[in-house]
Amino acid sequence: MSQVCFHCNSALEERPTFRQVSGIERAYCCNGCAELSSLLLTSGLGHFYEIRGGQKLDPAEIPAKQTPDSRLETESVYSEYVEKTAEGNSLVRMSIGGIHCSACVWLNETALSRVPGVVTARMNFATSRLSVEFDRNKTNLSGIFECIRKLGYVPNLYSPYKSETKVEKPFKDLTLRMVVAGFCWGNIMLFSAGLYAGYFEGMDLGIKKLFHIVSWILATPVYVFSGYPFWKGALESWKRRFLSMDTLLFLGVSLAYFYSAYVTLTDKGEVYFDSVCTIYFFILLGKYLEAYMRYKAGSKVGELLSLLPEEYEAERDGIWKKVSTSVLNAGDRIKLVSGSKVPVDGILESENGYFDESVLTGESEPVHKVQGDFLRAGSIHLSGAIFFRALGTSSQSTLTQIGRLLEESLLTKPKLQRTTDKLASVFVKVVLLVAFGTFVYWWKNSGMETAVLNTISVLIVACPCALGLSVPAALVVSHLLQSQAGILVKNPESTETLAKADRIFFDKTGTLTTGKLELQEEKIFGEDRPVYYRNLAYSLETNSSHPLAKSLVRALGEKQNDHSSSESYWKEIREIPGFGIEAKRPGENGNLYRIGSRKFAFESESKNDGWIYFTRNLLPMVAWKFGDSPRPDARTSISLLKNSVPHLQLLSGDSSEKVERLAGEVGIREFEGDLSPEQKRDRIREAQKKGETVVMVGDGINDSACIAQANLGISMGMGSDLSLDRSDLILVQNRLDSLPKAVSIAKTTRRIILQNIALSLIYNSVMIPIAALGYMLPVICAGFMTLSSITVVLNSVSLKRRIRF
Amino acid sequence: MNALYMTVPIALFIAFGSFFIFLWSYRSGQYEDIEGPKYRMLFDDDEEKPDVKDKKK
Repeated sequence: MSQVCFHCNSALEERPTFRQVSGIERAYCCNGCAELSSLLLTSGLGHFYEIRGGQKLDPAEIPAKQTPDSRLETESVYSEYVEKTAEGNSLVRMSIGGIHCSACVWLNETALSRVPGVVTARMNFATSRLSVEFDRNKTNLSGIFECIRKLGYVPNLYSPYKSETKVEKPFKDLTLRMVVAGFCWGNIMLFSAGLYAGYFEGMDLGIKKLFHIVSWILATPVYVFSGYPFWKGALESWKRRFLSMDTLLFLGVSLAYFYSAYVTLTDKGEVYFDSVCTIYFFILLGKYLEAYMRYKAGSKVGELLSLLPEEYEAERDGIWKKVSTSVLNAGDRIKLVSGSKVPVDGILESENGYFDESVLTGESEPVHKVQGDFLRAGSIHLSGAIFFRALGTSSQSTLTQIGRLLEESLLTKPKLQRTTDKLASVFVKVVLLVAFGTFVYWWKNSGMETAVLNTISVLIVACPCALGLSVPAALVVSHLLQSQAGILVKNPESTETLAKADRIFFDKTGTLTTGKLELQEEKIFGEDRPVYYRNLAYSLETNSSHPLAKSLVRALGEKQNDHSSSESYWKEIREIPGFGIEAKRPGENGNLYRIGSRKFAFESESKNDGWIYFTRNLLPMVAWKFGDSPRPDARTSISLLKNSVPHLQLLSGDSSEKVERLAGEVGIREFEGDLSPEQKRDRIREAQKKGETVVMVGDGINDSACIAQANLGISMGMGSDLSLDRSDLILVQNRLDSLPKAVSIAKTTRRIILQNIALSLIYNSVMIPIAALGYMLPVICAGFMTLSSITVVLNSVSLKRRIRF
Repeated sequence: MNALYMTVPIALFIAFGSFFIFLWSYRSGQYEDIEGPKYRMLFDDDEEKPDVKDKKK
């Protein structure tokens, strides 16, 4: 017997599952793996195990019963996600969840290519995106989905036009411009080196002319193609009567370019084609690095936002019909089956129901709602069929609106960047005045040539590229550091906000605690037979699907290995939603067993106390208490944060005493319990009214309202996909100690950015007068210009060393 | 030094030539999945597809 699971390669627990497949008995860690493995081996895909090699996979889950995929086969899905190819086939793109290694890619491609009707299936290794070309007459989307699901992976439709055109197209564009500039810059510097040497030591005029012409040839694509964003920007700002950094840059570069062209044609003076390339290349490089970070984050977000459109049964004007999410309206009565998502915000009309709101709130426990309660779009309905009335369309739901905000935020500039732009616009005006003055002065005194030369010197030395680089360069380094520390930045403004944070609000469950319900205490009333009671409770609770019951079953299952009595059976089992489960045993004279809350188990009027009781004829036998424990790194993280953030505060919907105990354990002095989401939001508002910058940390979004209200929303990783989507910053490793790191990086980054701005302004204000007075040759100016940029870049890189965790 | 009049244009020509080849490969999407090819060549293609077998019968 091997020590690892044949399929997923993870270590086997004590009780492996054995299964005979094609005559050989193999050991598996679970039924899911056994199921999947036999599927692979019997369909001739055993090659998978050779490609997989020693790689570990996640144990396979037995695929949950999927709701029939009729919702995939609607025209709206096809028109949105499926393209027609030149050969008349259909092409669909999807992102596949659960890809670990090359074997997974091979498996998906090979298995799909065997589905009749599939022409080709190709997966991109880097992005886990699959494109499938298929013949719609022979197979359809649900067939493809079915095949992928059977293999144990999670298919998700995604439309490249929806998520990528906004981010990817400009990014590819920028890359190309940067590459062109870099290529020409590298070549032109070789000739420039020759020309500089010739400047000091003399040079054959013919060779000099050749070098000038070659430089001209190399600089032209840079000036025209790479410089396109700048001359477009200059033109636009000119139209709007506004002077931007682009204007000055473009003017300086243009003057250098055309003056050099003039020099090349007339053989008088020196050329500055190399400055043209240098300036554009370095500025584009900075922009490229910044865009790269944004593109990475953007493609992730795009994936999460492209959720499958679903179909619902809805009643409008007394007629029931199937409609897709997009046409739901306020007032529609909608039927929800168990396991489906609430499509729009609404009011519950059925008596009661359980809802998993973890996507929105981060709380792992399902919420019990009764008639008239508010249902949030995005939460998942868990119990039977219910009816509710829509309050608005899906585009009006909080969920969609946050999603839209998020997309926009990716395209906005950080605030500091905007400040620098404003600063630059003032600066540009001053420089233009100075340049004009210089030109007039030297023209009157020493003639045209000196005047042009000195004006170029002023424009080049004043080139605000150091200023232009100051923000992006520092941000790029901080992005790198943040990703190393397991922090994903989705909103470029978050660095600044976090650096200035006055108050951090923490959510309790899942943020400061692990968020997993664990058995904390057990009370045994009848002291004689605890094992017997536990086993009875265990077997009764296996009949319940309530999450708390599942936690109890798990906890009791761990406590003892003897489950012999779980064979004993029950009769007249009744589960009362929101209260507990009751049953009788055959052979006993109608003894009534109950497990549930205090109110239910004792039929008493007293308040529930958080304990779960197991009673016989209303007499207690055992009681358990569940709770979650603080994260192991909570205490150290909080004490680190205390050094840099003035106020830390714990807000929770949980009972005050629990909150107080936790606050004491992790060392937070300000705390408040028993809060509704609205009250939480009000607390944030109050703090903001006092002029504080507020950060909210939750697992997931812990309340759309709170995160939206706070100046910065941070969520713990490992939350649901959607909740990760909703925050500005994500602690990917799901560790709280990433938070003090994030704060420390943000503070240092902000300091460095301010230093960069100061550096470049000081440099410019010293150099411009010298150039204007004619003490500077353009060659030397170009040197100083590069020097200032290098200083800024080096200062930004020093960020790495200045940060200590 | 007269050799420069020949070699510099030739060098420039080669440089731009290779640059345009790069541009072509970039535009045709060859850099979109730089992980895949090294694994893909290890996949065996000699396994027969089940539907091919059926046709032979």
